[in-house]
Amino acid sequence: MSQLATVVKKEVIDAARDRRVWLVVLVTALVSGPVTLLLVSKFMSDLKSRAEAREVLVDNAAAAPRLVNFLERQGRMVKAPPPDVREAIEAGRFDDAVLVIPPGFEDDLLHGKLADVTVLHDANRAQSLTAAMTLDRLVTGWGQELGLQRLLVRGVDPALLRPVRSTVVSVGANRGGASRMLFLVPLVALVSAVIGALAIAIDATAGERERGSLEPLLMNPVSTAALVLGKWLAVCLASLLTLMGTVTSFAVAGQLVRDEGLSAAFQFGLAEAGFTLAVLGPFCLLVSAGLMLAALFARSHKEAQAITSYVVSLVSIAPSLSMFLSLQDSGWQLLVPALGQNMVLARVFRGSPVSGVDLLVPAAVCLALTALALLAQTRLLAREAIVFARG
Amino acid sequence: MIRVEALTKTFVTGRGRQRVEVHAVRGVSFTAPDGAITALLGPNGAGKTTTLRMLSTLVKPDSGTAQVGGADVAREPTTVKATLGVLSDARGLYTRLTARENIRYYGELRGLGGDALEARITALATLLEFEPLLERRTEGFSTGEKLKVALARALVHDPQHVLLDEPTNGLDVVSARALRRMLSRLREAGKCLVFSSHVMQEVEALCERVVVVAKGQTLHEGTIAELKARTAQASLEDAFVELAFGQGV
Repeated sequence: MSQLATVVKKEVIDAARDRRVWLVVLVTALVSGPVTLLLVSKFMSDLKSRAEAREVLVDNAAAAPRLVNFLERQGRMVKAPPPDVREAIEAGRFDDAVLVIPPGFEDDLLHGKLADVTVLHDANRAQSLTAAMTLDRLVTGWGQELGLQRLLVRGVDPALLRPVRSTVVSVGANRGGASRMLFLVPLVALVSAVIGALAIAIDATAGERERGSLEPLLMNPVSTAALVLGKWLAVCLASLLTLMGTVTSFAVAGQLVRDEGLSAAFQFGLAEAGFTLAVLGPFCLLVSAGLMLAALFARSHKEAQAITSYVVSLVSIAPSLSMFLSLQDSGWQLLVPALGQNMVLARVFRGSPVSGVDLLVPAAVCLALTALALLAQTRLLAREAIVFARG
Repeated sequence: MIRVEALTKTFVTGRGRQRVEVHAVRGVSFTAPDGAITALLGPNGAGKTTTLRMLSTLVKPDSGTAQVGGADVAREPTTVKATLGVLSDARGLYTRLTARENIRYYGELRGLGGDALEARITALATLLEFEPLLERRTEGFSTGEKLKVALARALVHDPQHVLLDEPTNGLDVVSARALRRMLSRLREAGKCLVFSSHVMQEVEALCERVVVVAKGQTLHEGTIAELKARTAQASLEDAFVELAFGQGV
């Protein structure tokens, strides 16, 4: 036991004096939350401001005085678009949509013909698309108003035109929009657990080999189990600290958000932070053991970084995979580290029910794999090829 | 006392057609008594380092036996490690730890601690003449300074048996002399020292006994005078060359 404590103490002191470790931990933990939220809030408020923009761009507005009148009654300010607007949209220089009125528009209306208008936009750009949808909605609204008037003039009940009414009700998640943006938390937190562990995991394994300190270390009458466990505990500490820092920074950033729409979509309080830590804690243990195992095969820092970069990519891809493949919540995901944690957290944030199995299975998988990875390392440290081959 | 009998070790690299067998040690035997410095003398690739690694229990012998203080290296590695201090070819230090912290780490791993350990560290630093460096981080230490810290680290538990693998490699004159003084002191204290080298003057100045190893085998074991007499050569170097490489080299 005292040997274990000695190893932990040495590794913690060694790591705490490594500026790279602190830099990574601090930057990851403190910056990730606010920066992510800042980007999201910028994106959302841009969308919102455009959606609620009082200005609408209408080309050839003089040809449709009644439409312009309607738009103004809706509180919109009708403005003419800049010249060559079509080219500007095509070139991606113009992030808005334009309503184009053809000549003879009013004539067509007067003669009961179908009157055409066009909404120019770039569907690749979220803001342009939103603006186009707003314009389309406005024009359709005016069309309905005109239609109603025509029916009333002919003595027909307008209700005849709407025999069916549909109401859209979301029953999937009882927190509704409150969680829309929370999917970002597991995405960033999973990676932060890996990044926090990385530098120390490499230094404690490949670093020992590279600097030629592993061989003399093993000449002490100390069990390889105590060495591996001691190093692992130090790595876990860094991983958990980084995770806690990241989660805290999300929670603090969430409290500081002023934007109404965003704070409604990002309700990340103490309960959510606690859940995130509980679900990702066992994952930190596995990441620490896994990174150490991978790096132990490397003879130098450089080689170790190349090997461990696969782990980093896998973990960062896992959550987005489930998003892009639209994976449905299913049992097998619980068995896959990173995927399981991501799914459980997504359920928690959505407000979907989470059972004990959902919490225990991913944790048990992580603990079992951690034990295997640690065992493998104690075996590797007895191998001559690992002990003596130096970078 | 260290007793080595007919040790062999073969390393295998590659598989299938690329399989290469290297017979690093083919039969090394010698005895190193307490209170003496025994030199393991041999050209590069003779198997000195592998022999020392087998003695330090990190490499398992294929056949033969080796005993350190009566304990078998293969069957009782922990007992062997407890009485052994090794300055190996790899002598990496933790550069973010001070010299004292580096030495203390090994002391604590060996169950030492408290004021006794700190006093022991200071005493070793004084003996090895690096006391002013003790509280400095080892980053940027010179080869000689690193070696002194590594040696102090290997001696922190006052081992009865000391193995040194080419300790004076890369040392300047002053550091080499400090090292030699330390080894003489250990011999006077009754320790059993084995050190590998290919520097003849050093061996002649320090050692009572030489074990000449070439191509993985022991060619001679005895005093320097015996070696000279056997080969009818006046200098140790000539005697060694004749024995290890044959006449006319």
